[in-house]
Amino acid sequence: MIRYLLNRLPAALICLTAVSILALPDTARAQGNYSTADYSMAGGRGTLLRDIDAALVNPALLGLPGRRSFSFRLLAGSIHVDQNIMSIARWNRWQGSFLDDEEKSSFLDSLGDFAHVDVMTEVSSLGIQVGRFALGAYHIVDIETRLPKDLFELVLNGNELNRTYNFGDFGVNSESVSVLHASYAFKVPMAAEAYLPMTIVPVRELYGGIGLKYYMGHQYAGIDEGLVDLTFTESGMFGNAVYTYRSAGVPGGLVDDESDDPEVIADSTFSAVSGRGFGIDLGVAGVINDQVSFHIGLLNLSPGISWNSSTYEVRLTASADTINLGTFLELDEEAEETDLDTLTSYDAEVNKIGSFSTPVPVLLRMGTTLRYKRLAFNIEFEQAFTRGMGYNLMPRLGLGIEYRPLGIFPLRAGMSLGGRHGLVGAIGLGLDLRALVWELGIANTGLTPGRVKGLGVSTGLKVSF
Amino acid sequence: MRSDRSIGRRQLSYSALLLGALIFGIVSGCSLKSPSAPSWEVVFNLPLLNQWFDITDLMDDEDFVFVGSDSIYAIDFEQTLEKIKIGDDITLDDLNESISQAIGAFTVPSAPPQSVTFRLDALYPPIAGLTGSFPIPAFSIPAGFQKDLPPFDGFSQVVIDTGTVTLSVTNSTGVDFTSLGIRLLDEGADNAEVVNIDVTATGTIEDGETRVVQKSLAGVTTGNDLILEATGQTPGGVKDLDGNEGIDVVVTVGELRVSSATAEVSEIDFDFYPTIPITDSTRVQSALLSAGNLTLTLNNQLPISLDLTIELPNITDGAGSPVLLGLVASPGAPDSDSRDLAGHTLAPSDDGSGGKELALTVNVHSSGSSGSQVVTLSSTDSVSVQAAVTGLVVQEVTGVLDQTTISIPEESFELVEESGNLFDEARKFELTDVDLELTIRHNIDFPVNLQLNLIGEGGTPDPVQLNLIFDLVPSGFTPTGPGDTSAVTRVYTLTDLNETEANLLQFLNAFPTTIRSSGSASVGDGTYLGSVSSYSSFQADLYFSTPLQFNITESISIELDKEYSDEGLEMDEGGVEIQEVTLTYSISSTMGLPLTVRMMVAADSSLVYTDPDVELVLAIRSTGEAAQDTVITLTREKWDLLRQPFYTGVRIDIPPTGGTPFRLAKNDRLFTKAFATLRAIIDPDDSGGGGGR
Repeated sequence: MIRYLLNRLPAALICLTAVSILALPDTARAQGNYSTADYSMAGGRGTLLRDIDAALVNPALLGLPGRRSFSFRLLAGSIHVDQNIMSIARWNRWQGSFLDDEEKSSFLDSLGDFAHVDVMTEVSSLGIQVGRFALGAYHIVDIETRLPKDLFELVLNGNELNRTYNFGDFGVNSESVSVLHASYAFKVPMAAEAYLPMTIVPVRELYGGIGLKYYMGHQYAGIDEGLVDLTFTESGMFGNAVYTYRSAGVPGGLVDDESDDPEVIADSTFSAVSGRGFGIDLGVAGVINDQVSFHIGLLNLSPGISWNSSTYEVRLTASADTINLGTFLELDEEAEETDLDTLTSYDAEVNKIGSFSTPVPVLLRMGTTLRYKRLAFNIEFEQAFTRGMGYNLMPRLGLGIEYRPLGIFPLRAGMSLGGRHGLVGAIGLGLDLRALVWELGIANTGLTPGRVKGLGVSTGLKVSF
Repeated sequence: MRSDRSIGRRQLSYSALLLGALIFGIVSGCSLKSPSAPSWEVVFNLPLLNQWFDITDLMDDEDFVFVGSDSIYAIDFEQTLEKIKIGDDITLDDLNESISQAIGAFTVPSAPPQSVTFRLDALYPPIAGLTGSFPIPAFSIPAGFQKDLPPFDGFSQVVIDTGTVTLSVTNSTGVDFTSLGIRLLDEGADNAEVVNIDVTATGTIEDGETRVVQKSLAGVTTGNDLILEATGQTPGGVKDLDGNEGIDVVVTVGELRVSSATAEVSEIDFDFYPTIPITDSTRVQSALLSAGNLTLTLNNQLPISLDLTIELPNITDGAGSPVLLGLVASPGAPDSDSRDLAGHTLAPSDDGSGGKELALTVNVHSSGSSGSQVVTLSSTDSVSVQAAVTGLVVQEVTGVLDQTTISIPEESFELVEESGNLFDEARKFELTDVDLELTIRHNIDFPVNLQLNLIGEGGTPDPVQLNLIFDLVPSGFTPTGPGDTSAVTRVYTLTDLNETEANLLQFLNAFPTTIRSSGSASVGDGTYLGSVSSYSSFQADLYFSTPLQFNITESISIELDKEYSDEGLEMDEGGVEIQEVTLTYSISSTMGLPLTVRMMVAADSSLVYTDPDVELVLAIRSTGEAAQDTVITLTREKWDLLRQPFYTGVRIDIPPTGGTPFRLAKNDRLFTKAFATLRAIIDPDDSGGGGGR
């Protein structure tokens, strides 16, 4: 078995690399991956967190029993690449084959609404937790590339008459944000016998938590409006396009296209921080008994990030009416131009605009943990109320398990369902030397072998007592 | 303790097993096949055409087709004939005229006087030998008393026009003479009297008195062998004789103006003003000459040297100075002088009778006979000069031009012949209307009558001919140089050209393949005063216009020349392998002429029109016919044929018009609708194309 695995290891590494390039983040979150441990359990470790990492899941977790009295994050980072275009199984099936209608249909169905290739990286810099107080910073770069599904339809099946193809999903969204956060947990005074609301489940201890966040946006580029459709009929091709793209903090400048010799005019307003915003995390966490604990948090209560320097809007509009081969027949040059001018229109503008805001997703996150000897089971639920920064409105349920055969050597695994990317699997391990903690997590999209479409890795190093 | 270790090892084994299972799960799913692109089939639906084409758009590139004023299309043919420069052909006739002038009376210089003494003892012989004082009785001089006069110097014979002889008579006889006459006789002419002088006409000449008497010699002809004859009477008297008594006569002949003489001749100097009539048909008022030569020749037949200065006031150089020539010739010797007249202006004088002439001013000068040389000269002897004006070419001339005919060089031009049998088939067209316009641009300030002959060849019948005769009105100006493009333009219609529309229709319906043009131009009418220069020219634009309105008497089938594609079509590129193409199309028009266009493709040239491999039929339906789609499916095998070299041909079939002329109007349009469905295999690894599944 080991030899079998060793023999296939090089291929597996290549596979991992290849898939990583095409992968899409799933467990990555706008407010960070919480921790490598959480990442290792597909986001299903929330209630188990007791150190600086807990501040990002729910500030109230900083109050639960068993927390580290002091933790200091030296460095942590993750990268997750995800895509929904090609699974390993489909890749292997397609090589050298003839794609029949069933295969093409299966492929197109697998794309969902559109194809995408996303990359999200996070670098968490120094963070410190002392008792119930935590202070830290992290930086997120999120790049999302979208390809319209109808583009693949055209390539694979050709054009269908009297059907409107939509290419509005074409584009790249990217965002780069640094976040400073400060969190604090406090014990909630309660009666001797208290119960979870509307239940008979007793609560032994209950903690509240609050976190403050300061968002510093470095760069944003995103599709504000994308309406591109194309229709083929026997008479000709019809199309309309309205495409608006907004950006902030992108180095460069305006193009003076009014002059005969266009030149780039430096944007004097460019700065390293183009957008700013504030947010609040609120949460409670409680202990029911020695084995069971829970938490509920509302995160990112924020009006969003306001971008106000180096802000541009690119607006492209185009239309085509009854374009066919005859339009280009060279009856004479003047006629050709006249026909094209009559039947088509195109306009492109690059304008400097004022400030605009992008949302920070408001999240409800709750979870509970059950400990049994060296095992810990965790279940987490997450619901975003606003879109943005990698979130849609689909709820996500995460399940995680941590096993510590030895106290210093935790093994973790998890899976999640729902959210933006559906089924996600993750594994991880750690080396917990109490004073020094190193963690490693790997997650995929697709969970099962062969269906993997994305891959990510997260690692972190911290000191805790 | 052992139990704890056992439990720990078991837990470790479970952990390793769990981790191994997880890694296996990931690794086993990461087996990637080597990249090998898949292939698949697609169907592309391509709208090709769905639009109206204005005939105007389709005709724009045709040089011969235009929209006429009545919005009906017309086939136009325009040809510009070579520019004809008539100025190069305007020359003036040569002049060769001998001019002469008699020298007229001339002068013989005066000679020293000669004297004679009539002695008294010869007059009254009784006292001969006596001395002392003796009474002398009255007596008369004996008749015929003569005495030779010594000859004068400088002449031997003269015919005197004017001149005088002067006698100085001194009476030393000692007695008075109441009458005394002296005659001058020409002994060489039998003592013919030259002059008779009455010395005592004013009274008695007394002893010791000297009396001077002058007498005109006008009209006298005499030689130089002269005799004096004396007559007279005396009343006598007493005279103391010493033997020297007598009458002394001194004869002086002054300067003689003679009409003929054998004599020394004095200096001769006179002017005369001959003219040379210009007989050229161009009655030139003024001509700037670009070439020409003037030669004057003097052949001196006189016994004296001649020095001639000849001025031609009618020919001036660039500075406006008249031409001046000089001739110097010794007796019996010739002399000539010439002048290049290029750049000179000729402005002849009126001769007073409607003609033109060249005036000359000739100065004849001679220093006379040399020394004491005696020559024989007559006033009728003349000075003759031969004047020759040759090779006159005008750069610009103003005058009256008699009709001069100039040939128009022949030109030949081919009509466009697109393909093999196009013209043969086109002869089934019968044009029913035609216009012809001839546009003449010229700058000739003379009336011109043009005759233009057009001969069409290669048609049916062969040849056909048009004769166009018309006049040009003088331009009223003359071009000043090569850069002067001023011109008057006039458009001549068929009526102006003295030709009939029937002839013109016959000419065009013959559909000649070659047209040759030639003719002549008659310039000037003998009355118009105009100008012409070497830049004077005319140019003709010949313009046929026949509306596209014709009958087609029988079916026409035009097969254009076959074309060869030596490489075939590379239609499968970039991994796209076309399997089948279905073309659906229809063409309809607002024209009244249905026609069918077939594009035929075959690998064998001889089968293009008889058994093509691929045939695309474009049936252009006329107004009122229902549009009907044509569907052609080209299979993979047909496409493969097109990969190889192949021949293509186009055949156009036009049915008869049935007596109703076909007219193609500006607002006629074609509606085309075409749509293609391509079934293809996409195989990125087979970018070279070819082959099929």
